[in-house]
Amino acid sequence: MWDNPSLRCLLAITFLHLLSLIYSQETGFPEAPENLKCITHDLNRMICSWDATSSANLGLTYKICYTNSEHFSLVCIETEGKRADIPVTVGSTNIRITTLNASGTSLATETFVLSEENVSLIPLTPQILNLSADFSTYTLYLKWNDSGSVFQYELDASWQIQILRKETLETVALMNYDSKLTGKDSILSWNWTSDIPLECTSYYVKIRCYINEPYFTGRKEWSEWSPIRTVPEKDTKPNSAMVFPQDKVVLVGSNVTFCCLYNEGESIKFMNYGSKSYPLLRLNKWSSAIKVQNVSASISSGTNVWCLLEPDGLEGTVLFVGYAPDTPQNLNCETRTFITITCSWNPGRATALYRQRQTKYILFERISKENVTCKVDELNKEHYCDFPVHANQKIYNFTLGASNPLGQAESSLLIDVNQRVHLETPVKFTVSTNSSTNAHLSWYIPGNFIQIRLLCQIEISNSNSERQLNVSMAGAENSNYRAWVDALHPYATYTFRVRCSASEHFWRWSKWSEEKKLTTLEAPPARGPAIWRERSPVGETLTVFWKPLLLSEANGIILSHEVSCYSREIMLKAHEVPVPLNSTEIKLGGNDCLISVVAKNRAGSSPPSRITSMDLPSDDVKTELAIAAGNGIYISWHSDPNVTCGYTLKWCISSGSEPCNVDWEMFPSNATDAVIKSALFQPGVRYNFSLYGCKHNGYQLLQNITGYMKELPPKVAPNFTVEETSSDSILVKWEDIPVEDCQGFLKGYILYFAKGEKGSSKTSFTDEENKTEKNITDLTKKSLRILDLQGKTSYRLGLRAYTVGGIGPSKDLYVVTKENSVGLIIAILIPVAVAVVLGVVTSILCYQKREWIKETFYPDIPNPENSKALQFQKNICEGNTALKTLEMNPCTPNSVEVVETQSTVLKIEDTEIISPVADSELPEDGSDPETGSHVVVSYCPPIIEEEISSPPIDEPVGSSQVIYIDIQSMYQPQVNPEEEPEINFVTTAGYKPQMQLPINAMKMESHSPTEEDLDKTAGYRPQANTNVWKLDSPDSPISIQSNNENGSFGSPCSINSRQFLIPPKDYEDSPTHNNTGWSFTNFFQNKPND
Amino acid sequence: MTGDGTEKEEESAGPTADSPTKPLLHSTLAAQNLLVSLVLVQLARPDPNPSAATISQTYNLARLLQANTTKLLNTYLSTQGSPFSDPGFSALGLRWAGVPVATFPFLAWRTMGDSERLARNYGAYATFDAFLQLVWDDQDELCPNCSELLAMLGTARARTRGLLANLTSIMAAMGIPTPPATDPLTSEAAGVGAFEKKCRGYVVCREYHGWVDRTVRDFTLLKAKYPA
Repeated sequence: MWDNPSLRCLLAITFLHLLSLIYSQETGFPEAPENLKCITHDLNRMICSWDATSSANLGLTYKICYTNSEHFSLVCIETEGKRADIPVTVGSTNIRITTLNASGTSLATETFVLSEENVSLIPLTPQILNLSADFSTYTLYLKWNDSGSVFQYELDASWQIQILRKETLETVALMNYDSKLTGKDSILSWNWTSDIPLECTSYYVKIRCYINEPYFTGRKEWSEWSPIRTVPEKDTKPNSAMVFPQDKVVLVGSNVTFCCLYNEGESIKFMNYGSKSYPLLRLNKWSSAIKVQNVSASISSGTNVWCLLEPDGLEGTVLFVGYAPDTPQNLNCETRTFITITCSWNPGRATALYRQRQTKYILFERISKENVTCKVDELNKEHYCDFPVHANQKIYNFTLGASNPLGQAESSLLIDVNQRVHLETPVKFTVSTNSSTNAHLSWYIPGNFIQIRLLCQIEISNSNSERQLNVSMAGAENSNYRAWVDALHPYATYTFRVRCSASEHFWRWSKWSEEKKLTTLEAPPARGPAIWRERSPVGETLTVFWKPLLLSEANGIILSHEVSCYSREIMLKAHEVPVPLNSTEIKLGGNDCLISVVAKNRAGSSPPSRITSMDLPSDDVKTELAIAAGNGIYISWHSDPNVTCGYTLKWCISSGSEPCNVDWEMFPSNATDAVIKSALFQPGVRYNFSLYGCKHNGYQLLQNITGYMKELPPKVAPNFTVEETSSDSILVKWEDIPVEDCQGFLKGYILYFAKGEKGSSKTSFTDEENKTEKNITDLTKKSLRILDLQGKTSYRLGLRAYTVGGIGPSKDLYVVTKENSVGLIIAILIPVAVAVVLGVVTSILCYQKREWIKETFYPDIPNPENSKALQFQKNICEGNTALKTLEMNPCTPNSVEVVETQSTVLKIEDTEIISPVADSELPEDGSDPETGSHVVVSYCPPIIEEEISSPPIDEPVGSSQVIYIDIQSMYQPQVNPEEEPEINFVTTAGYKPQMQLPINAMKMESHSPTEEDLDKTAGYRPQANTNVWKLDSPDSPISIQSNNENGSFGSPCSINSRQFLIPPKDYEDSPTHNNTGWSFTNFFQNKPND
Repeated sequence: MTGDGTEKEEESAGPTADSPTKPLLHSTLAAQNLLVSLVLVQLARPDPNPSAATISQTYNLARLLQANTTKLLNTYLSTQGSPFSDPGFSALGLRWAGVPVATFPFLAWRTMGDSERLARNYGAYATFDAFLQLVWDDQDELCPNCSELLAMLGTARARTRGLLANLTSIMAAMGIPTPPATDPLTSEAAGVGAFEKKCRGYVVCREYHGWVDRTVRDFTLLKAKYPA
C-alpha cells in the first residue's frame, strides 16, 4: 500500500497539514517545549534537549515524534526528561514534542524542523590514561585513548593539551597534537619537556579533542577538557631543602634554570650560580628559581649552585658544564709486538668533564666485529687503546667512538698490520770484538715477527766519523738479533747503537738502543814514518829524524822505532829507539848506507821508510828570500831536471835555548813552489829553509831560503849617532839592527829632522809640522850628511827602520849646529874697512880742498849772507817743509825777545845752528817779519815727550803734540779691514830669513812656485814700500829701541826724519830686525826669534 | 712547633705493636730529626709508666697533625669552587651525620677520666679514618686533577691511622679496652649529590681540624699527668 507514490504524497501533505494545525492550535502554552538543541558525539545519534516550563503539576512527560529517515516512518518515544536520543540525519529532521500530563493528556505540542547545521559535533571528553614524569630530563609523558572506535571510519582528530603549574594553575604551555582516528581505539602518547626541573613546582595536565569531519555540515566543537591530572611526585621526595637540577651535565652556552626547594618555616635569602647572585623567580610558596644564561665551562669539581636559607641552611647542587667530545684526532694504530695493535689519538678539545662524566672511548673493529673499551686518563694529552692482533687477519678497520653525556663523535682508520710495525726499542745491546777491524753486535727485540723481515740500522761513530749500516734480517719471536760490522779502524774507539723497523713496508724506526762503546784491537802501523837525515859537518855521523805517525796510521800505541843501515841489502847496523825520541845518530864510518826506519807497536812493525845517507856536493848555494804568506811561508824554487825523486825542504824551529827541532816536507819532482805551514811558525821570526833535491845517487843542497811567516815592523830603532856637526850640516851614522829585532826584511831607513830643542812638548815627529824626512833605501849606506842647516840651531833628529810589515820605532837625538865664524868675521871687517876708507878719502879731499873749506867755513871775515853752509842748511829746511811725509810743524819757535839793545855777540856755533831755523820758521809762523830791532832766537824743544805730557791747553803746545798724533794717524790706516788680508798674508809669511832658502833646497819635495813667490813677497822690502812701514807698530820693540837710541835729536830736521832718513842699507843690516844665526843680533842674543 | 707543613709523607708514622720503640717520625727536616733524637733519648731512660713515652709521642704526632689540618681545610675549600673557595667561608651550621664533633663542655672535658678521654679520641679518629677515605674518594671523582688535595687527604688518613695505633698502644698499656669497631658510614653515604659531597668533605675537614686541636689539649693533660 505504501509503495504507491501518489498515496505517499497524499499522506505527507495530510501530516504537514496536521502539524501546522497543531502548532497553530497549541502555541502559547507555558508547558510548550522550546529551544531545541541537539549535539552528537559520534555522528550516529544525537542528544536533543529543550527547555519547557515546569508547572506545579509534576509528572509531565514528553512525547517526541520524528520521522525515521531510514524507514520513513514516524517514530515516537516518550521520556520524562527534557532530552531525547535520536539519530543524526543528513538534511533536516522534523521533531514534534508533545508535553503530556500525568494522565497522558497533551498539554502542548511543539514541532521543530532540525536542520543538520543546527547539530553540534562535540567529541567525547578524552580521558588521560597515564601521566608520568622523567625528572632527569624534565619531561612529562602523557597517554590517552583516542576513542577511535566511536566512529566507524577514519577521521582527523586534533588534540589540545594544556600544561599548568603552580598552585595558581598558570598555563605553561598549550600544545596541539593531530592524530587520525582509525575506527579503533588507540592509545596516543605525547611528551613535553619543561624548562625548569619538574621538582621545582607542581605540574598539571588536561586534554580535549576536536573531530574534523568535513562532510558533516553541522557545528564542530572542541570536546570538554579532560579532568586535570597532576604530575606525580618524585619517588625520593627530599625531606630537607634541595636545589634542582642535581648534578646535571650541560653544554657550554646552555641556559639553565635552577630552583631551590625549602621547607615550611624556612625562607630563601639569595641564590647563587658560582659566586654570582641571580634574581629569584618565585615558583611557589616553598620554591624559588634562578635563570642562568649562557653558562661557561666549569672547573673539574663543577660549578656550585647554592641557596642560602633562613634561619640557617645552605643547600646546593653542582652543574657540570662542558663540551661534547671532539672528534678523535690523529688516530694512529700500529703494532709493536704483533700481539696487540696500539691505537693512539689526540682527544682534541678538552670536554672539561671528568671521571664518570668524562669521554668514554670504544674501539670497534668492523671486520672482526669486536670492540674494546679503552681506559684513558683524561688528564693525559695522548690517549692509547690496545686491540688484540688476530691470527690470519691482516686488515683492520677501526672505528673509535667517543661519547660523554653531552654527545658523541668518532674516527675511523683502516690499516694493514704488516705495514704498521713500530718495533720496541732494542734492548740487551752488546758489542764485542776479537779483531782490529770487526765487531759483533747483538740485541733483543720483544715480539713475534716471524711473518716479516726486519731492517736494522747500526750507527757506528767515533770522534771524527759517523756512518750507518743497514742490516736486513729475518724476524723471529722474542729473539736476539745479531749483526757483524767490518771495516773498522784498528785501535779505534767506536760508539754503536741500533734501531730497527720492518724491512718490506717501512713504517717507523724504533727508538735507538742504548749506546755501547768498543775499542778495536791493535794492528801493525799502516805505513812507515816520514824520515830525514842530516850529516854532521864532518860527515862521520848521520842524524836520522822521523815524524810520529798519525793516530790513524799508527794503529795502536807506537812503542819504538827501529833504525837500520843497509848497504847493498846487507844490514850493517840496527838499533831500536824507544818512544818518544824521534831522532837518532848513526856513525857512518865513512860508508854511505841506506837508512831504514820501522815503527813498531804491540801488533807488529810498519813497512820500512828508506832514505839514503849520501849527500851530493853542492856549490854556489844561494840564499833567497821567501814571501810571507800570512799563514805560512811561500817558497819557490827553480826546477832541477836532475832531481828525480823529489825535493825536500828542511827547516829548524828553535824554541828557547833547546836545540832546534828539525822539520821537513817532501815534494814531488815536478813541484816548484810550496807554502810551508806550521803551527810553530810565529810572525816576525825569521826561518831558514834548506831545499834538497833528491837525485838518483843522493841528496843535494840546492838552495837556502830565508823567510818570515808574516813580516812585522822592526822591534827596535836603529842605533844612530851624530858623527860631526858644522854650522850648516850634520853627519849621522847608524848601525844595523840585529836580525832578531828586524822582524822582517829590512827595506830601508827614514831619517827625520826638524828644528827643535830638548824638552819640547812635542813627543814624536808625527805631529811635527816642519819636519823633513829622508828615505834611505840603500841598506849598505850607514851614514848621511844633512846639509843646508842653519848655524847655531838646535835640531831634533829621528831614525826609524822599516820592513814590509811597517815602520819601527824611532830614536831621537838633539843636535845644535855650530856658529858661522867666517860670517862673523866678515861682518866685523867690512864696516871697519869701509870706515877707514871713508876716513882716508875724506882726509884726502879735505886736504885737497882745504882752501875752499877754510874760505867757506872759516873765512877770515865771516859773511853770513855768503855762507854756503848756512844756505845749504836753509835749503834743506825749505825742502823739509816741502816734504809731505809728515804734516807737522816740528819747530814751533818760541820767541825770546832780547830787550837790551846792546846785543851780545853770539857765538858762531849758535848762529850757525839756530839762525837759519829762525829764518825758515818765521814766514810760516806768521809773526812780524820786521823784527830787526829784536833779536829773536827760535829753538826746537829737545825732548818731545815733555811737550806731550804737558796739558794740551794752549795752541803752541797743541801743535807740538801733532807729532805724536800724526805718527798715530800713520798707523791707524793699518786697521783698515780692506788691507787686512794683506796684513795677514804678510804676518803669516812674516819676514823670512834668507837662510831658509838653502834649507828648503834640501827638502825632499821641491818647492812649489807659489811658495817661492811667497818667500819673495815675504822677504826683505825696501823702505820705499810704505806697507812694510805700516807694519811697524809704534810700540813694537823695534820702534822703542830706535826711539831710545835716538832719544835726543841734534836738529829739528832729524826729529822729522828720524825714521825716513835711515838709509835702506842700514835698515837691512839692522841687527834688531834680523834673526838669522849669523846676524848681529845673534851675536849678542843666541836664541832664535821664532 | 714540630712541623711546619712542609715535611715529607710518612706512611709509617705511628709505632707498631711489635716495635714500640720505633721512632715516630721520619723527616728530612732538622727539627724533626731533633725530635726523633729527643724521643730516643727519652726512650732510653728507665720509664716508670710504660705508656708515658707513647703519650709524649702521640702528643708530638698530634702537634704535627695540627699544623697540617689547617692547610688541609684551606686546600680543600680552595678546590671546591664558590662558596667554599670564597675568602672567609664558614658554614658552622653545616653538619654531617656521623662526623664526630669536637666541641664539648669544658668542665666535662676537664674532669673526664683517662679511659673515657682516650676512648673518645679513639672513637673519633676511627670515624675520621673512614670519613677521610670517603672524602678522598669523593674528591678523586669530583676533582681528579686536584693532586695536592688528594695527597694531603691521603697523608691525613695515614697519620690518623698512626694516631689510632698510638692510642691503641696507650690504651692497651693502661688496660683500657678499645671500643668495638663499627662502620660509621651508612649506605646513604654513597647516594648523595656532588654538592652534598662537597659539604660533607668540608664538615669532615673542619671537624677533623677541631678534633686534632682537642687531641693536642687531651694529650697536654695526659702528658702532665704521666710525665715521661
